[in-house]
Amino acid sequence: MTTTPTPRIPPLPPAEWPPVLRALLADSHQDGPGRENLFGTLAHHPALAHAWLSLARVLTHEGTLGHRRRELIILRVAHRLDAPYVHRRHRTPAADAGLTDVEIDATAAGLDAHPWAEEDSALLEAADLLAVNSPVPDGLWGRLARSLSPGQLVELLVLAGQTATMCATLNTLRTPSDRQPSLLVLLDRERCCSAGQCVGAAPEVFEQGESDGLVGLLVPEPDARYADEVRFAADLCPSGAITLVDHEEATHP
Amino acid sequence: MTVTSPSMTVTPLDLPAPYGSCPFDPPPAYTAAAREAAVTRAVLPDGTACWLVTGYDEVRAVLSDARFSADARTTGFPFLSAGQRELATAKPSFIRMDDPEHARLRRMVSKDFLVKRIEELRPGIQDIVDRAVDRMTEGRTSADLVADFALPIPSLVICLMLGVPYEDHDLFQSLSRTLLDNRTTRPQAEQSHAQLMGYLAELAERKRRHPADDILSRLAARDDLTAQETASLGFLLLVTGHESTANMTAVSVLALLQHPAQRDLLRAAPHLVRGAVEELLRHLTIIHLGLGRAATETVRVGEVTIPAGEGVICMLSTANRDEQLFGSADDLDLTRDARRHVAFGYGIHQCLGQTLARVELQTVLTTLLRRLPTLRLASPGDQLAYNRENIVYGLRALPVTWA
Repeated sequence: MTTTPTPRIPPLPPAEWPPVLRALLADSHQDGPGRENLFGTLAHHPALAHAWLSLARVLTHEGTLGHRRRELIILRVAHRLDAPYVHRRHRTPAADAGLTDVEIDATAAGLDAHPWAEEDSALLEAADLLAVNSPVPDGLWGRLARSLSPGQLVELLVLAGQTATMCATLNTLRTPSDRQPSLLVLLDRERCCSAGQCVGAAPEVFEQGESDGLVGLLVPEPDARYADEVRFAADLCPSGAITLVDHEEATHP
Repeated sequence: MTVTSPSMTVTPLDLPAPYGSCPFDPPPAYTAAAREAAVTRAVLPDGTACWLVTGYDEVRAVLSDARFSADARTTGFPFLSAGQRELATAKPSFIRMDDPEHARLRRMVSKDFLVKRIEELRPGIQDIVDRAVDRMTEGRTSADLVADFALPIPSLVICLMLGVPYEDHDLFQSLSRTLLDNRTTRPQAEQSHAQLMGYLAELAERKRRHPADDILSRLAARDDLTAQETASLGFLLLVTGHESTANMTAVSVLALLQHPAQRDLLRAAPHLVRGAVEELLRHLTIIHLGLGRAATETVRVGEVTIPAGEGVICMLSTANRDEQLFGSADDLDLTRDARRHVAFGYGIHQCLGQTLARVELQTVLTTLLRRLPTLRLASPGDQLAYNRENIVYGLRALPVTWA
């Protein structure tokens, strides 16, 4: 059983963030676990948060490496620096970028354990070295330069450095991982009137019991993927049988 | 009368208000009331004052608040006619009860209307619809879409589910029309109700002795239901099961015929039918006269305080035209997301048969558009006769041709 260490600098709650960070919170839920604790940490230093986000925005949205290469590097650096916060946080964007679950898991294992393609293994080896600021040997540089342009190579170095800084910051501060922004779905079956609205709105989450016709859950703690349809189902439910407790409330009762 | 809000300076509205020129729109007086405030004062035909709730949030708030009773025997409950008073108070079905009695009876039949169960009926419903098209079109090029198509389909479906012989449809269709008509007098309502209840009680007794795989047999076999309760449940399912879907079918077809671009869109993209049916439900909201409730405590609704013992009428049709929720709400747009509509009501009394109604409507519309691509009105659209006095809005007849 693991215990969560107390953070050295507790993340600020969203209400105390500068607006630039608060505006990003909703979007950050779209692609998997949120970044509340990272943002809450940066919120202690609004000017720095601003600069950090500018760099992150370029790397994410104006990068030239492509999403798959970017996520490979981030996952590997996070693994190498033993930063589960970042590794977990990037599983969903990595999957969205085309990495399979097997590949994502393999970024946290020995490089021989998975039949990586030539370019992938060059990127992963580079990430291993850059994460700990070791020199990149000529042989590896040559393999990288075979498929990457000079601009992409520069971006690779900055990306690895930015990821390493983030991992070191969060590790040093003992910032806890954000919980999956799952919704705690509370059902009041006494109130259920079997209208079936929830099944229509979120068929992957709700069911109507075979024996009593009352609402039940197919997924006990629906994750971010289902958030919108679960909220819609709760809104449509005519009897008030579905109550949602947001993650913040659930963790700070 | 107490003026509870400064905005309420106009004369209370007489209910029910007359219809305007567009057969699909709520009576203009309700729309005007909704524009003025979400909750306004109104006067019932018997001279009693009541509250007219026209706003979306307020309609949902009232219908989901247990302090508003659906029991017509509650002080202040609003009635639009003497016949309605008789039907709702003498021997109420569970839609005119509050919990826990309402929940006890509703749950006796809720399992038969679960989404999964109704989806299993889809092929059977398709079959019924196909055969209805066959019958309607056999050897002729025109028909009354109400009598020859819209009415038989839901009647056949609910008869099948309940275990009521369809041969008796003339009897229950005419009795339920009388019961839902606002012009029906108290003795007429009493007599029609007694006749239909007698018919169902007798049928239930036969089912008890010779059970089959149908709802009435299962109800008749229960020892926690009285014979009266069994007949009353059967009554409710039979009447609501055929009347509302039949009217919704005919009005939907008319709406599509009068919006050719929307009709062509749905014909070209039948996969849009689920959303299209939600939009038709929203736009047409055939429970035109609204849903009545009575406040059992003093309740704040929006900006208004409704005292205990006063009646409210929730206007589903104006709620479904909420501009903020449904932009250009007066337009029929089959591609919009209309799922937040309250055409089936809201709260614990929300329509139990809504999934069945959806599947029937989806099947009917796709089948008609596919099989009768030239379907059109056989008489001028402005000469159609509507059931405006009925609790469920609809068409008396819809002459169509496909020649």
